[in-house]
Amino acid sequence: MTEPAPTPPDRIQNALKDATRLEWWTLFWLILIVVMMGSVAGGSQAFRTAWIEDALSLIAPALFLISRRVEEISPRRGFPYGFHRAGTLAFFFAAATLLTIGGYLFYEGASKLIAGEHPTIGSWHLAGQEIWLGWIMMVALILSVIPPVILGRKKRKIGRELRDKILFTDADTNAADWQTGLAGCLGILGVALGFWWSDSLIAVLISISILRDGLRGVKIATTALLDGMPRCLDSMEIDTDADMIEARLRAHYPDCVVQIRETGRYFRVTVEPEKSRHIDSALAEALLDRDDWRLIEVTKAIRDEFPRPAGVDDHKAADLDKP
Amino acid sequence: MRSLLILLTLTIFLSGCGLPRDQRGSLDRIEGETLRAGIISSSMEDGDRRLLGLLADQLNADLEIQTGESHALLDRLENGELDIVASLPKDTPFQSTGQSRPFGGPRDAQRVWAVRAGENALLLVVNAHLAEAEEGT
Repeated sequence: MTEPAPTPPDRIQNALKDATRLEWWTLFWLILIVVMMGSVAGGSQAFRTAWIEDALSLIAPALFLISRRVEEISPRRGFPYGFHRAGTLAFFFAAATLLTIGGYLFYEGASKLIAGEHPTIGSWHLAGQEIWLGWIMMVALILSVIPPVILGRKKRKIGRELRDKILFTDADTNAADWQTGLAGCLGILGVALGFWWSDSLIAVLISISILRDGLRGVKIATTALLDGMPRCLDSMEIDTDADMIEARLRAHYPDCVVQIRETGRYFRVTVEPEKSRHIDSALAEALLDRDDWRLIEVTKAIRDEFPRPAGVDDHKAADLDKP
Repeated sequence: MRSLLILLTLTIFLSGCGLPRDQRGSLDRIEGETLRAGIISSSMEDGDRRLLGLLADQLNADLEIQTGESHALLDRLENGELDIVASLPKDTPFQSTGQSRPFGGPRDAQRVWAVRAGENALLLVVNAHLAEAEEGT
């Protein structure tokens, strides 16, 4: 007694496969980068912040891969709508983590800046020479931005094709990783030039960019989880596709309210008579013995035609049926 | 391999420009003038005296040594009245200073030298000096 899983066209299925493959690659490269950066981290708060940012950017691809599995689970009695929103929920948690840790890193950087801490960076004995660890960290930072930027740009294209905000936002974050790398290098270069403040100042700037990514993600996820109108991929503007659906349905049902929401990859639309947006209390009582106030909506789905809306008289409806 | 080459080129080029620099100019002040060092009394003074002497020679500086208790010496270091404090145990709790590579003896007996926090040029010279001394022995 549950609805079958939707079947998107081949083009979309293939793009989903590509996205999955790229997210695995993202995980692979990011783990490598996080280990590499961890082995040279030392003394620089800017570097530490960039490093933690890279570690945090493991969360979104991992959750994407998990929720790709979960969203395919068929609907069941306990979950009659299926699990289409698993990705959105996962994305919410990823974004909330960014906000929390971004906030903590901001606090760390800012208190070092306020305390006037002078960063000390040691050195390594390599190839018979004493090499300042700052230079090693700069090389690590430069190397660390290459894979995410390449993968991010590829994923952004697929995210656009799939209209997948989660993938798109993750890709956007990866693609912008060069800014973190560059900022981190500048912070360390500043230390090399003898400016103690440059390190914690850059750390604060990087933590602000983590906070901004977190805020953006929380906004996107809560809007979808609160049944908001579908939004554009890269802004909080209402999606033009949603506008289009609304306009065309309103042409058919001029006296009705069109409600559009997004559950994961799919749109769900309800058309309600404007004058009686909730069901009649007599009908609710017929369906529910006690607490009938809790029942406000019973929906009959449209499948292959535009039926006559309730409360529209016959000759007006005949007009509506004309193309 | 390629990144190691980039690294070496970068290091040679940038150290040619005198980078990294100290945040409070310790190394510039020491060179040709005086190296003010602290040695914690009761510890392996002789080895440290010898190593400090070699470092002062390398920097063309006179060596001025104060001995005392570690708290007092590190306070003086933080106030800029000393350039180096020698012979701290490796796991010293004083983290607000810049610490050199651990050196000398087996793992649990290793020592570090401390410079003022942020004196990265001086620390680099100290680290190179200690590494060289250890290879020499």
